[in-house]
Amino acid sequence: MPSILGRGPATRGLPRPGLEVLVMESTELLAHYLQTSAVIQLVRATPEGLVTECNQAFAAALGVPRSELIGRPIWGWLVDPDAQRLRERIFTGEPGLFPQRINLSDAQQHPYTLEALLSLDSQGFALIGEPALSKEHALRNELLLLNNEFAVLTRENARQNKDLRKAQSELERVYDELKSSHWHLKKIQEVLPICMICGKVRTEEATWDDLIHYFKQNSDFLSHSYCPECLARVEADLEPKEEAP
Amino acid sequence: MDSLPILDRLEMGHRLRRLRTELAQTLAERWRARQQDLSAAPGEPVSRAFDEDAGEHLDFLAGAVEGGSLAAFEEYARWKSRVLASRALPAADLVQDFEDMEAWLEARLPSTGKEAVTRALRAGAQAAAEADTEIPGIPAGLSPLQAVQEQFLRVILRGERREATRLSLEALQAGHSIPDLYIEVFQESQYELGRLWESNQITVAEEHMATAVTQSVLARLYPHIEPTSPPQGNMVVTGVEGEMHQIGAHMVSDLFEARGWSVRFLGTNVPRAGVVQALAEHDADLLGISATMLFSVPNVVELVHAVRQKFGNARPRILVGGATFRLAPRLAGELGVESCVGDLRQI
Repeated sequence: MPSILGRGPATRGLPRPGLEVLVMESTELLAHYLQTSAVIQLVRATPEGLVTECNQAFAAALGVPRSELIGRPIWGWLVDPDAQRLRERIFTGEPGLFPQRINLSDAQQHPYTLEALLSLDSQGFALIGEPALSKEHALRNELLLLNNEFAVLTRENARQNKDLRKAQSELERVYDELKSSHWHLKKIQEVLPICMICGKVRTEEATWDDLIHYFKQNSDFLSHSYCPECLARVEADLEPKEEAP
Repeated sequence: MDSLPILDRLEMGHRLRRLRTELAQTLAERWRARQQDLSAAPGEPVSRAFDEDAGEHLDFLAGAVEGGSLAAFEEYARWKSRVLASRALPAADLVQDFEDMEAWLEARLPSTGKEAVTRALRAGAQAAAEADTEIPGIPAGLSPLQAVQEQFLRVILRGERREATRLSLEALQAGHSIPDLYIEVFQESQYELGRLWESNQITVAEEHMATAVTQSVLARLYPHIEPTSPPQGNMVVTGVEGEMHQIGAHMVSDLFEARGWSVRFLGTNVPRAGVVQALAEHDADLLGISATMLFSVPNVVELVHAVRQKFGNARPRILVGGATFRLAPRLAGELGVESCVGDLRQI
């Protein structure tokens, strides 16, 4: 069975004499660690069971410096009911991996059990914790994918909003232009007050302007050309004059 | 490895991956034998770590062969040594794994390309044996955004999305540009997250959470991107199939946007057919392909091939980026595409 950190029946009830409860400052840290790493060695111990090396995360979960755990016996931490038999087996020198539970509690003294493997080799012991391929693990990967997808969709949404705002501002510009043209058209359609003597027209600013100048300023409809009479006159002006005898 | 043509290298990579399960079993058996753990039966929990480790060794070995880069496997060996050391696991196991792999693969690989595999494994074993297990620190920069970066890192590690957004918007209002913010704050924070994970100071879960917060900040900043150049054309950016790292490609997309490109970012792990369809829909002038893991090489090759087959060689231009191309620098040239590796300032 993959190991997982959780409340376990083995730690309930009266503690056995000599059993040492390791109080963890943060159960979350070790749980996360085991969920996200490969097999990890929690501690190594001499053949007599005295800790020689300790995993950083394990020590951090216990809230003590690694150095404090060095030299302490591991026997008191194990809660396997067959611990005595295990010790006998170990002392016969039989190598192997033995499933074990480690006796822990959180800061509120709630018991927690960490399932682990006790490995015996020629150097001594190693307590090995193992990650669980649990539903939680699968869910975390699923959440990661969803988060990636969410980021893409949010960006795409923002991109489309930006394009939409750009299109909207272009629309507003065209609308303003149309509005202005429409105003001029309406003005032209309205009756313009014109002086009966000089032919000037009254502008919207109440000034008097030359009719042609007014139209040039206020209308896009005017263009330059010649009427037939004026064209004939211009052409006549351009023809070479006969010299007087 | 240097002289092998790319097709031969891809063929060898494919062969290596097919041996994955068998290799995992072999490494587990050899490890047990070394541990004198004769009682554990195959399939017992401890073997699963070997599935992961052997799979990882093989993926990176195949990727290094495919990418034509011995240095890539050496870098993997050094990285793995540091990761093991920070988790109180002996790096000597890694050297032994590589030696076991070499012996086991000897009889299982064809002569073409076998030497490349052997050389990579030996180089990896040597790199692992000589690896400095100290995780290199990131030197304190002289960036005017240094304080913001440190604060940003703290808040994303706590998962505080709103605070991270507030800090970024404040920096923007203070006159810092989007590229500066991306490079000095977000990119630096991502590097630091990688370092913290490598040195076993944060878990994968914490790293994912922090990255997710950064991604949400990027999305909030997007409307503030104002192109500094005239319109350059349409671009599609994607991560290849099998690739899970997304944030680098996301930042690249935004920075190209700031340079005047209209960028559609597809995310990562996108199927080839989806990329081809997006290129047509967006009438793309440029395709950006991101790959960060060495084992993504075959998927990159297939995507480039699929795009060329559909659209020809002239358009869209293809630009590749990400750690894969930094580790295998000759790959871009062999595929006839442009390469943009290193930090985001190169954009």
